[in-house]
Amino acid sequence: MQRRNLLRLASAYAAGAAFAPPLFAEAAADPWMADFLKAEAALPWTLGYRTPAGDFGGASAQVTGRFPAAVQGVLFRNGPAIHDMGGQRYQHWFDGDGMVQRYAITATGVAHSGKVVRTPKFVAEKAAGKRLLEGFGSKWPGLQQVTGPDAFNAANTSVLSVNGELLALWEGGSAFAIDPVTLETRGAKVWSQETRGVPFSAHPRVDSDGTVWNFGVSALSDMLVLYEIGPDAKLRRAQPVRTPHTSYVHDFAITERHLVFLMPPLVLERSRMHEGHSFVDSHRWRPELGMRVLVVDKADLSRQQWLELPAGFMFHLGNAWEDAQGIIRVDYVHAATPGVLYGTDRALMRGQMSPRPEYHIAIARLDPARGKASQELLKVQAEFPRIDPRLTGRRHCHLLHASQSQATHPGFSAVARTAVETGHTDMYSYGADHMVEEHLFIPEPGTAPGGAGWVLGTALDLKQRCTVLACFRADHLSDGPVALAKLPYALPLGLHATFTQS
Amino acid sequence: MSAIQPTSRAAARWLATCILATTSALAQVHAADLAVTVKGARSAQGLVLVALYDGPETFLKPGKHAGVQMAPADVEAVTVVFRNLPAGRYAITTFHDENTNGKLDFNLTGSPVEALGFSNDAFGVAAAPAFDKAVIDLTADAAITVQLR
Repeated sequence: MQRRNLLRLASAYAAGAAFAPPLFAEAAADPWMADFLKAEAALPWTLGYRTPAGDFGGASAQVTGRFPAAVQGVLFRNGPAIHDMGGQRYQHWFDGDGMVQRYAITATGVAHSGKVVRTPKFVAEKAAGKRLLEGFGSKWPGLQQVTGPDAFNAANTSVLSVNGELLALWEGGSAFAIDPVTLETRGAKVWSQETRGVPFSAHPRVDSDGTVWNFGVSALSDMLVLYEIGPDAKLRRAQPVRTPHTSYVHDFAITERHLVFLMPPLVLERSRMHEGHSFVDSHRWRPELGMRVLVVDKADLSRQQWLELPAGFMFHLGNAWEDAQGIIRVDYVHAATPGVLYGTDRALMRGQMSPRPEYHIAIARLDPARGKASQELLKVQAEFPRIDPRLTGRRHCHLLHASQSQATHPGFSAVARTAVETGHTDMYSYGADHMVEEHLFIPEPGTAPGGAGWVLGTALDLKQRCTVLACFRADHLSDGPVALAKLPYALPLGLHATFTQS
Repeated sequence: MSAIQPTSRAAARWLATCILATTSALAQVHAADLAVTVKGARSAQGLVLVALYDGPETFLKPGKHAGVQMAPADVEAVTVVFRNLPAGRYAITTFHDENTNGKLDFNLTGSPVEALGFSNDAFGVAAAPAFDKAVIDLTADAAITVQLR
C-alpha cells in the first residue's frame, strides 16, 4: 500500500474513532452481543431472537386458502422482542421488552402490526439509548437499583382481553393496558389501590361465565395473591395466601370449585438477591422438597389444602377438572429439571444451542379429601398446552400443544392435539425449518363445548425468513392448514396469545 | 388502607405541629440550612412530604424524625428547606402523598404504592436503605436533590 493511502486511512480511522458513538465501543465490549452476531451468519434459527428495528405497522400478508368465519377477528401475541439495546444484549430470552403482535384476520386477508409495550422501563431506556435496569435473568454492575417489581416490568409474556380491554401481561408485576386497535400503551392497570403494583401473573384463567381468575407471586413476602375479576373487568376479590417458600410458579388451573397450584421446588432465596444475582439466579433447585400442590376453594379463598407430588418442573398447565367424588385431574407439561430456564433459554441469547430436558404431558390425580396426589407421564413431547376455552375447569378430552423438537434449532416444529385419556396424538409438522409458536383452539360458533373448532397459530419459516399464520380444522390437524398467511418479514418468536372474534 | 382518610387540611395541621415542635427545639443552635429538591412526582396531586433524621437509631422510626417539611406536589420539582440545623450527619426520606392521607400507603403485599426517595438516591434491595447509605454530612448550607421512585 502507498504511504499516502496509508496516511489517508490512518486519518480516516482517527476521525471515525473520534466520532464513533459510544454504542460502538459497547458492542465490541459485550461478549453476548458479539457471540450472537457471529452466530447469526451461520445459524438460521437465530432469526427468532433478533431485535426488530422498530414497531411494525399494517403490512398485508400473502394468503392462500380461506380463513373460516370463526377465526375472523384479531389474534394478539406477546413476547420478548427488544433483546439488545445500546450494543448490549440481554442474557435470558425472558428479559426482552415485550412487543404485542396484532394479526387482523378476514376471509382472505391478514394485516399485521406490532408495537413494543411502552413500560416505564422501556421508555427510560429508549431515551437513554442503553439499559438502565436488570431483567428477569440479566444483571450487571452499573444498573439502577430496582425499587419494586414494576421498576423492571417488561410486559412481555401474554395478553388478556377482558370487557374489551387488552392487557399485556408479565408475571412479576402489573398488567399494562394497551389500545386493541393502535397498540398504544395506556399505562399500568390498577385493579384497586390495595393491589397497585402487586404481581399479576401472565396466565389468568377465564371461567365459562367470564370470571377471570389469576394469581401473583410476591417474591418479597412469601405470598401468593389470588384475584377474582368479573367479566366487567372489575376486581371482586384479592386475597393474599401465605406460602412456606416462594416457588417459581408461572401458571395455574381452575376447576368448577377450586383453584389448583403446582409449585415446583425451584425456590427463591432472597439472600441471593441481596448478593446481586438476577431474579432467576436467586432461585435454587431443591428437589428434596417435592412439588407442593395447593388447592383453594373458590367460594372461600381461606379454605386451602396442601398436597404433594414428586419433584418436577413445569411452566404450563393444560386444564383441571373434578369428578363427582371430588377427585381433581390436572394435566401439565412436565420436565425433570428446570434445565430450559437455566440452559436453553439463556444459551440461545448468545446464539448457542444447549441440550434441553424433555417436556412430556403429565396427568395428576389429586384427592384433597384423603390428602393424596399421584401422577403419570404420557410419553408425548409437548409445550404451550391449550384447550377448548369452553371447557376451562371442566372435563376435557384433548390438549392442543407444540411438539417435535429439533436438533437444528431450539423450540418445536409441529402442532399437535393429544387425547389425554388414550395418549393418541394427531400432528401437523411444519417441517424442520420452522419454529412453532403457541396455537389456540377457536370454537366453531353454535357447537357444544368440546365440539368442532379450529386451530390458529403462528410459526417462523426459517427458509423463507418470514412469519406465517395458519388455520387448521381442529379434528384434522394432519391434513395441514385450510388457510395460510405469509408475512413479508420475520417476527421475534413470542410466547402467549389470545383471540378476539370480529 | 385505613378506614379513615384524613383530609388534606388535617394532614397539613399534623405536619404543621411537627414542624413547629422541631423548629423550636432547634432554634437555639444556628448552623446550616439544608435545601431539599424533590423530583419525579408522577402527578401534581397531593403533597410531597420530606422527613429529616439525625441518626441511625431514629432513622425511619415513627415520630423520631428531626424535622418534617411539605409542599404541594409538582411534576417538575418541589423544594423545601430545613433551617438552622446543627452541623452533623443527616438522612432524608420523602414520599409523594398523592391522596393526602398523611401516610405512605402500602399494597397488600407490603410494598409502597406511593413514590418515595432517600438522600443520595439510596435504595436497599426492595427495602429502605441503611442510614449510612443515605447519610449527608452537613457542615454548611447545602442543597440536595432527591428522586422519587
